[in-house]
Amino acid sequence: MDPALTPEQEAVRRTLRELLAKHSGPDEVRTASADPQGYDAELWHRLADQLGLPGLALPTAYGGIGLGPVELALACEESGRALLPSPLLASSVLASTAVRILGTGQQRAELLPALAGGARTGALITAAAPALALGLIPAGPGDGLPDGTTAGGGRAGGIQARPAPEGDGWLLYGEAGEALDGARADLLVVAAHTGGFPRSRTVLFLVEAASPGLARTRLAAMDDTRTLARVEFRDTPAVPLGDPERDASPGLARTGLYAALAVAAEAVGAAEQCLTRTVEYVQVRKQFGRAVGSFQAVKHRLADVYVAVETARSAVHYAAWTLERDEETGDRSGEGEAAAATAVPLALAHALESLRTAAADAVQLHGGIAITWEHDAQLYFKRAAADELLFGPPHLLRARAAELANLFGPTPVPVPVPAPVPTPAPVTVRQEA
Amino acid sequence: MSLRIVVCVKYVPDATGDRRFADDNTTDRDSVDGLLSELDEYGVEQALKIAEASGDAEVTVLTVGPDDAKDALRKALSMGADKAVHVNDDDIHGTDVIGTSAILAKAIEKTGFDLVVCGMASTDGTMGVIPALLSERLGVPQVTLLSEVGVEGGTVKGRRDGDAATELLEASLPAVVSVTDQSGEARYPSFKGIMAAKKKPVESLDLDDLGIEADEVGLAGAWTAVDSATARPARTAGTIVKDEGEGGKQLAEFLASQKFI
Repeated sequence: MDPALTPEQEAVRRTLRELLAKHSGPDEVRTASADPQGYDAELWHRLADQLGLPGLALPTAYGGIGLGPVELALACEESGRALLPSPLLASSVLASTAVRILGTGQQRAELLPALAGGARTGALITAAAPALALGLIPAGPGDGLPDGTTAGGGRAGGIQARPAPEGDGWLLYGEAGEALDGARADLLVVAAHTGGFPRSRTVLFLVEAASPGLARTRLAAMDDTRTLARVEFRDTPAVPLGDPERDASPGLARTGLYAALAVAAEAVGAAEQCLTRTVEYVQVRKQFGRAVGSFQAVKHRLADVYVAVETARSAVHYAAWTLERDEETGDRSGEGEAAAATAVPLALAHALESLRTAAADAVQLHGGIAITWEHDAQLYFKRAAADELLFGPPHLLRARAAELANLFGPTPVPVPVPAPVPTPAPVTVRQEA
Repeated sequence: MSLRIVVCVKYVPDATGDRRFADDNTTDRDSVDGLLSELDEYGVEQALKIAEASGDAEVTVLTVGPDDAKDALRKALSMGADKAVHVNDDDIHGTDVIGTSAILAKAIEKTGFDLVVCGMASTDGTMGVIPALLSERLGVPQVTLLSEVGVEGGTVKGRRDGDAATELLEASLPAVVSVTDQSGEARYPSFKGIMAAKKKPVESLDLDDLGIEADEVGLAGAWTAVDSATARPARTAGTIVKDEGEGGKQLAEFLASQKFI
């Protein structure tokens, strides 16, 4: 692989960085997150119309730009650097990717152009935290079922779907406690459980914002730059995304890889911004007659942050590359997907930790000013903490990667060829009572 | 017949970087990142607007500069220009504004043009005389420093905002215009444009292609010579006048001592 970015990739990054530096500074970010919608709609439309940001990683056939995971990661690095409040993660990554992977041809053609063009926004609603629902961390203990699903609907538990008693529609019942962009999205893509115990499966459903029996409340979130909502479904009519007879978990897990990549890249961008601003500050702030940055204790600490940020960036770029390679080769052996399925959660784990380190050290090295409301360090610190709750924690991301790589699983032992056994006597079929 | 627009752009050292002179007193381009001059972005923007309005136009971006100047061309192509011309020759190093205008004029003639669009000045040399020199060399009218520009039929019309008056100007094509930073914010390259720029043609020319002798340009051919350059002295602390009843008087004395009043 050639790790260098192409001139086009550099241009994608530079363009977004310049635009956000001009139009999404710390003040704009605060204003936008205080807005009832939670983002600057004008800026979002500008990013959509002028740059094509929402459709960056969507196929050109559906009105996208047709770029891949590497460009997506670069763009997210920039949105993370600015802590840009926007529908980028929820709509352009989560909802759009789910529709792209799981939707029927007709659904893709109907839904994706509006999402790619920024005319509409979407959100992926899961009852559990995204990390669990998207298969980025191991399912909870005590599940007892061989495929890792928990009782009560596994990773999709909390929202149940059943065929409507009349007609051929479906009804959803249940609630999602913390859904990214749940309150403002025009189109909800909802992961629900159906089939009871015997035919237990996760199915994705499409719910329009104006549907009956739908209640959405924006929550006061720790990290205000991402909006969270409680979304309640009380027999809300819904249309299945793709085939409702098939389990959507693999598609959901694949969507999870794109989301994890985006979150990881945002974390790297945010971490780098923390580092940059701290380095600027320690060169200006004087104590004992010299800049505090000249003290070794400060220098060494910042060197450690630098290492954390750069290694995280490398891990994220590698993860993006594994996803891209998997897409390009269209390898159906599953080898490419397996590589991405371990590389992406590992990169996310490292990126979340590096953001936590960078944000915490930014607070420490800025001194008292950093714990004021007016200073921006708190915004980054809260982003770090919130990301861990939604898409972490890092140790479980690593546990999942280990699980997928079968690191601690039973080693396949060559089985001796068994001696031929006599055919067993025919079993009598048990009669149902 | 489509409208042929040529935009002259310059690849300049980033103004936010630490700019300095090289040993031969020319601009040091190695130690600082370069980019498309911000003032030329306005030129590209207006050219693209004119092209969009006419519906049948071809925008060529032209630069004279070292290998890295391709970056500036790529940015202009990403913004939406159709093709690019890059004049690059080792003998051009150190050329002054007179020489540069000679090279540009030859390249413009070779490309063919109906309208030449320039920025108001470069952000490094800030001479701002290229448009006038070009109009003289090409023998066409010049309409400079416009804050609003458009092409109708065979004429280019524009508005020049002066300190004392606003002038409405027009000239018949072919013509040279320059636009100011008040002409409208330059667009950002779209992601689609960035990908499309990869496939757009960039023509490379050297002095031989343009029929220019090496001694007419370059450091030796320059009409001006820089003997020495001194860095601007560091800013010194100002004088603070404390008002203890005599503040106004002290202020007046200070201003008088500095010959301000």
